[in-house]
Amino acid sequence: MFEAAKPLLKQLLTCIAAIVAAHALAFFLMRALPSAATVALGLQSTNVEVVAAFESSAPVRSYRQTVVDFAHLQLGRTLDGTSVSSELLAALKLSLPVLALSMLLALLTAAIFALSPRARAVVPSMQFFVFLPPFLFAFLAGSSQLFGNVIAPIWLTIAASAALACCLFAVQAHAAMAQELALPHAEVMRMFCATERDLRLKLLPGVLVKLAPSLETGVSLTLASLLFAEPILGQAGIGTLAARAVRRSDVDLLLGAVLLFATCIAIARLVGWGLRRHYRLPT
Amino acid sequence: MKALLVVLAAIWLVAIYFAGAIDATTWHPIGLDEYGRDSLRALIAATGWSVLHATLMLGCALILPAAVAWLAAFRQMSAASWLLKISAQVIESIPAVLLVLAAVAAFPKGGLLLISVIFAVVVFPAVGKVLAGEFSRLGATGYVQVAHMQQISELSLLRRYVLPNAVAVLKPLLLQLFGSAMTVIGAVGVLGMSNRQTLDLGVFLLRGKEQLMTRPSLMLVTLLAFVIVFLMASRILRLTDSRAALQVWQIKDIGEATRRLLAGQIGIVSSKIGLIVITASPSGCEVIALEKGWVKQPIEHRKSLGRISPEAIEKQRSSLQADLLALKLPICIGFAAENLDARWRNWLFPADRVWQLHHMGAALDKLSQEIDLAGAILAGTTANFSARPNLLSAPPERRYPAVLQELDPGFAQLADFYLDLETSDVLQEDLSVVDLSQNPAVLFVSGFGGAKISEVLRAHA
Amino acid sequence: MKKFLILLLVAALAGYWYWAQQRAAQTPLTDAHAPKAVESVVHLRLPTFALMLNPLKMSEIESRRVATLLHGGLIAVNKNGDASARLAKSWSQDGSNWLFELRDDVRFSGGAVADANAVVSSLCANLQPSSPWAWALKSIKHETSADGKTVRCTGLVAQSATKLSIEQSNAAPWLFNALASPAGWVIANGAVEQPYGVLPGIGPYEIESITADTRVVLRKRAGGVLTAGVDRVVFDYLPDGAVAAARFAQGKLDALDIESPAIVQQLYATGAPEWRFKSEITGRTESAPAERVRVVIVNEKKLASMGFGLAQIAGFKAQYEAAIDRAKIAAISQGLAASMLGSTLLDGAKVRPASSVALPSVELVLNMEPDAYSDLLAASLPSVVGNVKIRYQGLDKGQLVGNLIKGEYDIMLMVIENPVKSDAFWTALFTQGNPFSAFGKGLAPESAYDLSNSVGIQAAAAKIDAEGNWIGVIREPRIMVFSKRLTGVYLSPSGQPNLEAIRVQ
Repeated sequence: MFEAAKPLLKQLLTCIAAIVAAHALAFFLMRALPSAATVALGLQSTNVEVVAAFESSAPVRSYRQTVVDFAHLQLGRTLDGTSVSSELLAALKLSLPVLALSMLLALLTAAIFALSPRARAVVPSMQFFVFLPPFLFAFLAGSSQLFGNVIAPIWLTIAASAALACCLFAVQAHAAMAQELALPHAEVMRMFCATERDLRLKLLPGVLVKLAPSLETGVSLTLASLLFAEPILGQAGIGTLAARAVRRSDVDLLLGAVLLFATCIAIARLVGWGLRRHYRLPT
Repeated sequence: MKALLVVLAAIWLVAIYFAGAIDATTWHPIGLDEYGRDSLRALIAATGWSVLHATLMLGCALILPAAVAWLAAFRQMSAASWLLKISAQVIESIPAVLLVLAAVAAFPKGGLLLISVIFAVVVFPAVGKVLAGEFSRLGATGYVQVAHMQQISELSLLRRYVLPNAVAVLKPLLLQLFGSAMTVIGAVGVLGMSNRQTLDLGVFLLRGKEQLMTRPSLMLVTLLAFVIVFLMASRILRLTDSRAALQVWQIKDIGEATRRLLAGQIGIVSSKIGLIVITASPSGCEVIALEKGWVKQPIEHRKSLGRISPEAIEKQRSSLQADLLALKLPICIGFAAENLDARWRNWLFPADRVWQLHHMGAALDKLSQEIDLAGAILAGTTANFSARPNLLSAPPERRYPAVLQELDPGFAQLADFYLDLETSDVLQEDLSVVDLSQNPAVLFVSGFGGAKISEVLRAHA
Repeated sequence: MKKFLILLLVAALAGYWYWAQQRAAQTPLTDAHAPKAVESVVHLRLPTFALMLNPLKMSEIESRRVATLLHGGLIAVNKNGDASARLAKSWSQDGSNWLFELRDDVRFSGGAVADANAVVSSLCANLQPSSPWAWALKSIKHETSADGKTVRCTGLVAQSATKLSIEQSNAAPWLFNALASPAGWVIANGAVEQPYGVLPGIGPYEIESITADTRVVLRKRAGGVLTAGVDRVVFDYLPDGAVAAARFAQGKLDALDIESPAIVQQLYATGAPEWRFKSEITGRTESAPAERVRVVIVNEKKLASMGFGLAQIAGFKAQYEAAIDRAKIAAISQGLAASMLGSTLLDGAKVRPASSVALPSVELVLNMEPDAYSDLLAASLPSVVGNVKIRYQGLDKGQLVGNLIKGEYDIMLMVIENPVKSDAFWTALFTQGNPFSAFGKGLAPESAYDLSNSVGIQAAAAKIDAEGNWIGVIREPRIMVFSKRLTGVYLSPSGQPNLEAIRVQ
């Protein structure tokens, strides 16, 4: 049983190592930024006593202390005095459905592009959208707010976050379906008078499975898009939270956000790996 | 295409020259911007600069992931594999705004170099993963293993065999990264470090968003610039893709492959191509162009390379055996363009990129017929083969010709052919390594022995 | 396959339902959704979500704006210097002593009584060196401990629950301004700070809810220094100025700062001085005289390290100042700014004498905030001065301030929010340890100039003009737009909007 679980354990260890590395890297990157006291107090930070009073109310933990506290599941407090865990949970409650809906949308788009022969005409457009910078979708979504809230901001956030992942999955699904249709078993099915529609439907699960390696990419693209979309659209969530943490040099909050991002990506990676393993694709 | 590129470059240079200056003329098709510059000229200049920056940035950003992917895939370095796996997760977990702010805080006057470094760091995981996967896949293909066995240097292997075939898979990613590289300066501006006068498409997007209500045309023309760049980049990638220029068929059997070869239906990318490979695998035969260029290596130098490891031989042997049992005979036939006789070079037409391989084809026709027959016999009469102890007792390097002579006098010519090859100085090593007794239909011919082979084949034509 | 698609659809619908439930809790409050019949709700903008509502720690203007609804002091002072009663119902002066008679009907939002003891403890807390407002109350008599870390407030005496005396050691003309500012806000003794720095105050409102990155909701309460004019005040987090302007145009926002030419173009058919809105927009524009300035701060130490001699530094400042096209800058500001002549902040200031000294061939970087307006202004500033080339680069605000304090910049375009008329601001340039000295380079000791009168201030200004490292660019009035129904917003002497008296018509 241990032998069977060994690959999974190996993957888990890799994920944990990556999460720890991301946490450490974020901690040390924050050292390069202006201190929280400088950002919060502005010119008042020239006053040593004022800075001391600020830092006594919001002490900066060493990296070792951060890791020790994390081992006790204590993520610290934000500069506002709220618990980091509660802020992350609140942000996650808002962003997780966006993330899930975005991935769902991406899979649906992939399915549509795999099933529809006419999608071939639209594939170049999808390739063009992938070519565009990720923040453009957030810009366009945000610009629509200038003309009134015709579309609720939350849908704009979902659209802006999902756009890139949808385009990528669409292009890959189309290419994967084209490959599948050229294989001998598709030829055999045609010989058995399968219609184009039936053929594509039967091949769809295989095509979607081939997207498994892209699952992690899709999730990280969506998270990256959230980091632009939520602040631009003024929506609360993990993107806005992370942006706020960075700009205010709120170390504890940012480390919590990085842990959250790393965990989401690790989960996506594990799911992708599991799917590849299950369907005996190369891992 | 070249003419179009020249015209565009000229327009860009003119635009750059005039872009920064306050405009004294009256022709402003889309008006002046908030800095007093002609908007159209500024946009053209920005497009040109963005394309240039993106090309340089992307080029530099590909070096490190390619190196790490190579180490992971071909040298089997576990540290490199781990680095790729973990870096992907680590870098994707860090919010881009933190990376940018920290980098700018640490290097306030970094400028474009700093932005290039940030870009290289951010794209490292994605590119590294794709390249590692592609290198692994290509490393397992027959022709790359053949090249390995022929002890071609790693750099040549990468340059001539691997990268040209990896480009096809890398293309969509490259296009996406190119688009991001064009706007990375603008992205940095979105995150809070900006100079909106910078001639960069990303900055134009940022300004377009800020002025959407007051000057919507700015966003529209910027998007139009993106469309144009995308179309041009896609076209250039298509034109430079050797695989795209090469027609690839899924061929059912080697006979059909040879027939197509004879009919001149196998295209070659350019007149300078070195290697064409026809491989057969359980899923069919495929014609693949291996390279666009050719690096001459003196035959003596090649001969001086050491032997490959026994493990590699074993690996090759087991895959060949599997193919044989699958009733598909792997055949690799290669030939060197620049070692061809001058008569054949005259048949090279770069414009339509098709070779007429009459002489070569005739020789191969004969060879293929005989190989087909040999394969069929071997496949159907393995029992007979094993019942011939005298053949099995023959030394490996002589076993095959003896088998063929035994089976059918008609193979005599083929046997002579192999004998000739055996006596060739260059191929001696190759033949002994391959062990023809197990796979008589395998013939490894490469550019190394091109000159010799052409002589031999001419003699049999 | 069909089963798979159906499952997918069901999952999508379930997800949507869950999310809709979550979002319903985030729905902005409007009158239409008010639980009671016809509540008056005012919607205002919060451009950044970085709240610190504790007056002892407050340092940025957005938090201060929200806090004016929660807190109050002895008095309130408007931009004209007129004082009005708040916790103090009357006051008189006896030499260097100010005697305040307090109301007895004011309660903190927690319920405790706001008496003279609370005032003494609040003011004393703000006098401590660790308070960002210590400089504002410095004129109140006090004794500093030997280590300099604590202060005994000998000038603050609670004579009874409703009588308070404040004795000054050096009479400062800005004492009342300070008492009306966050420095003088009264906090309950021993109050425990909640998240976001929330403390019980004597303002007319209290915090109802704070939703991170979304909104802050305040509700009216009884027992404050003023009667609340509306039932609820909602601060919506709107980081994008254009979106905020669009919301104002749609009638969803009741007040807005006009902070960039883009917003002027978005809302107005005609800008200054008529300020005529576009036909579909209704509202009211109010502007206060020039209270904000943008100056170029020259890091003389950095220039010296780059090879500038003393004469060259002075020459660079003079030549740069002469090269600024202030008329053009005022024009591109679309009425948001008036060109500022001279290097100082006072009316009638003189420009530096012309200079033709040769400058070294160097490249300098002008840093400024990364917003579009600052970018436009920076682009309009000189890019070549003699042999000196100047390029500009926007920086994140935190980084900008950090660089300013650490001296890691060449030249910087800064917005100074405090007004021209704030005397306390002037002394900063002469006062070691004053936060605003980061702008300056430390001149002759304070005692050389009598800053209690205009003659002394003029002399000090001339000194700054001659030796200081500032170059004036523009003055900006505070321009705000209000919905027709909103009244009661007034500006403090420092030019900050005070919302405590807002009401809807």
